[in-house]
Amino acid sequence: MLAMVIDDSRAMRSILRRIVTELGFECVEAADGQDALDKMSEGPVPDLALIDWNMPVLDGLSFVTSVRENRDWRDVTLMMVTTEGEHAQIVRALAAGAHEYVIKPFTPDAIQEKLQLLGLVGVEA
Amino acid sequence: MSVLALAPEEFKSLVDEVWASLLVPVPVDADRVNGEAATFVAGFVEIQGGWVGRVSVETTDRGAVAIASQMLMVPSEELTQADLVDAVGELANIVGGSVKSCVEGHSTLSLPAVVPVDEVGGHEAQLEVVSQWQEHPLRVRVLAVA
Repeated sequence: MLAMVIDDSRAMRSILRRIVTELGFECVEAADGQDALDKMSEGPVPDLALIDWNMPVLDGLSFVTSVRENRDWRDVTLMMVTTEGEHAQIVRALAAGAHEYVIKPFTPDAIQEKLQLLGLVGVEA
Repeated sequence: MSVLALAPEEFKSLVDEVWASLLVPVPVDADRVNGEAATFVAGFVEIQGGWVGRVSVETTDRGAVAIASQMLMVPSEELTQADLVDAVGELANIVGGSVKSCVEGHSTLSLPAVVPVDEVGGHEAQLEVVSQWQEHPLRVRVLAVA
């Protein structure tokens, strides 16, 4: 399984990379939504994208919208990981096609639990 | 009318949650800033909406190096200035996002900026949490437009 971490902060990408790698994913990184779209176009297409909201060039919501407009990418699971915690914004992201939503700050367990809910990692006995 | 519904103890709890998620060991409370505050760097974000102001995360240069080293898991001697800006800015982004969630109504959060601490000025401190992480001082302030 391949995860793409999309965040303009290298530090946050590093933290998320460690978490998903620990959960068994291979991981690639993108510095903003446009960088992520470019990398997905080049391939490989990730199984999971972890997406920040507030980024330069192309924000996370626009990225989600773009992914959902491309039928070739319909199997990509989209999870927002962001400081954006307003209820209306969460609803917007989910309506645009995000599957899950994690608000920073988060713990590794919170990421794991969301991925378990999505069926992307196994549930521990 | 600007409204920020955040009591001092709630603000401290919010900051503690960010520290607990990102820094090991968890920073401890401090009565005052340990270090020459004028030499601090500050990562800040600006909130615009029902309340207007800035949230600033401040530490020394050496503190910024230690934070970036831990967040990136890169030895301090291999860090670039961009890494320090990135790490301190991301801390400000996360604390700022938590503060923004306490602002009534819709508001927006800027991308983070990192500057010498005296350049965050022009704002009045409404809330402040002072901590110590290893030997490094940490100060988080919520600053309203003066």
